[in-house]
Amino acid sequence: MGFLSPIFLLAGLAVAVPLILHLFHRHDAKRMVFPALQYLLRTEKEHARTIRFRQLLLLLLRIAAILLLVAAGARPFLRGGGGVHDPTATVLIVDNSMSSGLIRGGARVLDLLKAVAIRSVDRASDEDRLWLIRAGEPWGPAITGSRADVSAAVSETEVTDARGDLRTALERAVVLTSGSGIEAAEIHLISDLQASAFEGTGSAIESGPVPVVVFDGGSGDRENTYLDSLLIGDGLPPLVNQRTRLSVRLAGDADSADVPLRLVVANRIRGAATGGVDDSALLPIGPFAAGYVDGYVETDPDDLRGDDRRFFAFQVRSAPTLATAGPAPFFLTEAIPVLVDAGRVRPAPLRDAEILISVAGVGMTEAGTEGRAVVVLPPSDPALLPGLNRALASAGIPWRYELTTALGEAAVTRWSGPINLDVVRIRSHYALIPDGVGPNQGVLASLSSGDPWLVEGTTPRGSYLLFASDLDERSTNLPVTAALMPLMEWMVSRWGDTQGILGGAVAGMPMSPPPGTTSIRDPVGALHPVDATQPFAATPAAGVYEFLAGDSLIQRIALNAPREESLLFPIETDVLRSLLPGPFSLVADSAQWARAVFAAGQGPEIWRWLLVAVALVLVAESLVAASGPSSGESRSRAAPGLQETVQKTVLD
Amino acid sequence: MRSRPDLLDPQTLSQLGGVELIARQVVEGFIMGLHRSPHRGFSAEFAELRAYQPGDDLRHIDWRMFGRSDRYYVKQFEEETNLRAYVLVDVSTSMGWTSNPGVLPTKLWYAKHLAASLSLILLRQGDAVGMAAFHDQVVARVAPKGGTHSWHELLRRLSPLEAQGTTSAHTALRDIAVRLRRQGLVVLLSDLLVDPETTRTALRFLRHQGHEVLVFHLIDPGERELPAAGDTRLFDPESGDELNVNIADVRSAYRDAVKDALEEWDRSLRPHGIDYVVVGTETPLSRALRFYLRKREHLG
Repeated sequence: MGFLSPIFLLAGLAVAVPLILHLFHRHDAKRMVFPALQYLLRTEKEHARTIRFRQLLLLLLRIAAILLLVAAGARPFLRGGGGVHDPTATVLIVDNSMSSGLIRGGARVLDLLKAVAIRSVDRASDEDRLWLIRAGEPWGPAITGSRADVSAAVSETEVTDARGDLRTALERAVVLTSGSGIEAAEIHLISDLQASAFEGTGSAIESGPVPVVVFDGGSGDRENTYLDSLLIGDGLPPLVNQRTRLSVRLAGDADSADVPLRLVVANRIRGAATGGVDDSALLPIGPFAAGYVDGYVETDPDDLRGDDRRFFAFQVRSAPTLATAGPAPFFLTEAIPVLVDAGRVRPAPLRDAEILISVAGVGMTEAGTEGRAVVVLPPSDPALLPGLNRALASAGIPWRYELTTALGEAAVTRWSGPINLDVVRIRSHYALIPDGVGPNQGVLASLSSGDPWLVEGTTPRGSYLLFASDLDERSTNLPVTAALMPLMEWMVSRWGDTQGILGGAVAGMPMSPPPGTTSIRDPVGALHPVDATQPFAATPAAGVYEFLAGDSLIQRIALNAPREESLLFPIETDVLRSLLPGPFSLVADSAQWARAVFAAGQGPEIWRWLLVAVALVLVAESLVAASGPSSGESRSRAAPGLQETVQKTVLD
Repeated sequence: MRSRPDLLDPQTLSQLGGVELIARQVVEGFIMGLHRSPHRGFSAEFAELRAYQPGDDLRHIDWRMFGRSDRYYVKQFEEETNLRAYVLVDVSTSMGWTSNPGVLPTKLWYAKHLAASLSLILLRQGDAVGMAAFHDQVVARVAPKGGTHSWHELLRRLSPLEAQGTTSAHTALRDIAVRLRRQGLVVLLSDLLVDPETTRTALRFLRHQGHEVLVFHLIDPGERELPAAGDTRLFDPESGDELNVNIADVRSAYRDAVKDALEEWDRSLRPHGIDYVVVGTETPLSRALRFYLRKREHLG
């Protein structure tokens, strides 16, 4: 509530008048001789409490009348509630992330959020400047325009499979309002307030003096079961005519151990299984001919459909050709035939090999082909390092080997590959020194000393993988552990377009198109022309994206809903309050939303109602005052009664 | 009718003269009114004859004299002296108060004139009348005597009395009780601004001794109804008590308290055979006298 004439409130000091009269007026009473005081003493004693109460009531009524009159004179008005407000820069943040697709009470949460956003638009005036930020489409610009435009944009908003980043959305909103040039500003955050949507740094969002009105559309039942991860061939793609397996992990709130799972490949069900929460189910898949394979694994839909299906896409191809150059260590020379026998690699001459295992840089410069992958093992003799470094430099690889002073065994750390290297110990190694790249760029694994042990990268001539130590038994115990063969298999297979198999790509993430890409076909079949040199950001839907060069398929990538969106627990109010230290209000009831927004605005004036209240108070005061008769009419009524009593007594 | 002094209001009556003159006129007027009233005369013995006047009772015509003189004569009766009456007049400070000075007489003025009138009537009936004036003690006393000459003595003691002191009615009543050896009539004229319990006890004691007791409760109109005023500091001249009140706040409750007090006096005295009457100082003296007359009839 505000006042149009607040100076008039000073007249409220007039309440001192009845107070002073009440407290001090009896000292000025005139003195009168009255012998029948004993009757009055009796009266006073019997009615003192009533009299005191009545006097107090009169005092309060008189004070109330003055205060109401003063308040009416100050012309109070209600804020919000349909009143007008100053021109305001208003940003609507509508959370259309995957979790907003939750069905609750027969309706989508997003539909509730959209209805609330429409109320904001309805409450806005033509003088306001409006923006709409869809939190589930972080790549999209803020939509601005007239109220009709923004209202239409709100209506057209649909659930995406991307993650809602409310922190970023709020920061964008603050920037928009501060740059609007309009003094008054307000941010309407309309979301299910999923805790994961605020993840990031724990610092507060500096919204300054801009009020943030938050609608909590996420209250209620939030149980959810979802497909947490999907892995094909333990991280290695199947080769032509190979069978492999698909591992699916369930998570969430289901208490059954028999959650049904179905494997769909090329739109046909290819397998089925059951699994329990926090458990992995295995589904056999393959064999396949050469080419891309895509599909999904799904479970029965629950209230949140977006995470009940996970997509995959991988390329099935023939085993890569492999050549070795240089003095290969014993165990390496023994392992390669095993891989050949298993059909994972095919031996090839140095000139034609797709993968070159180079020891001490041998063969790197002699016969290079574009697109070749090189695995570099350092020599056991440090005297060969200069030659190796020259070969690296010649191949454009921005790393070089140097001797290190580190002594003793070291464990492998920071390793995120599919092979367990916990028991591997490195006894001696070289220092991998970056030469023109960041110190940790491309580091796949480090040693406990902090030195890089395994580095990857890509040059115009192809990809590379650098080991910091030789793989002989003097340098490491790797050759005598069970990890050797899986590591070798991973090493030779990791260039087989395995994106999507590991499940790391999520909807909403920008993708870097492969060179030559001219367009991208999204999961619903829409074709988007792209510049291959620019990231492609518009990835709202989970599914398989195709990168095309003209009509030719270059690559397929599967994007899935981020698992953070499946975690439906809400942010705690205290945490939210700490994130938004500026003016903040939280509304959980959509019916109250219209009152909560544009609260700084002027609502209807209420001085008329106050005058009515003054009249009522004065009537009440008159009634209370009249209850202690002081009028002549009362006396004239009373006197005959007493006279009658006297006369009756006389005549008896 | 309005020219009869006993029917004049006290304000007009007070302008007629002193106590003796007023009382005499009141009594004369009162007795003349009685002849026209259905009330019968007193118990009396024949004294003399006088010429018949229209309105005289035909039963009192002396037919023997009519036979001898062919004129109508009416028998006059000798008054009896068989009652000893004692009039008690409260002369405490509160009796000297009037709510409207210059217009309404004080309660003491009213008490004096009522006492004088009553005494005259009693004496004319042949009764013996005594008087005592009191506040916290008896300040004047006249022993009961018969004959009209004692009336002047009574007036001589009554006229100079001034309102003073606090009221202690029970002290005076007990004093009277000790002195009245023969059973008689005790008339109390007071505003009864006294300690009710002790006063009632003393009155009952008198009644217990066989006396007829008649209480005239004199009350000023301003004591029945509080004056039109706002915040007032009221002062009791007898007790010295003061009270700050808003008249409007207490008016209704005060009116009820006065009514309750009067009813309480009546309720506590009447069952014991004590006659109690409230007399406003604005009412003609005849009202009180008429009440006395009824009482006297009962006494025979």
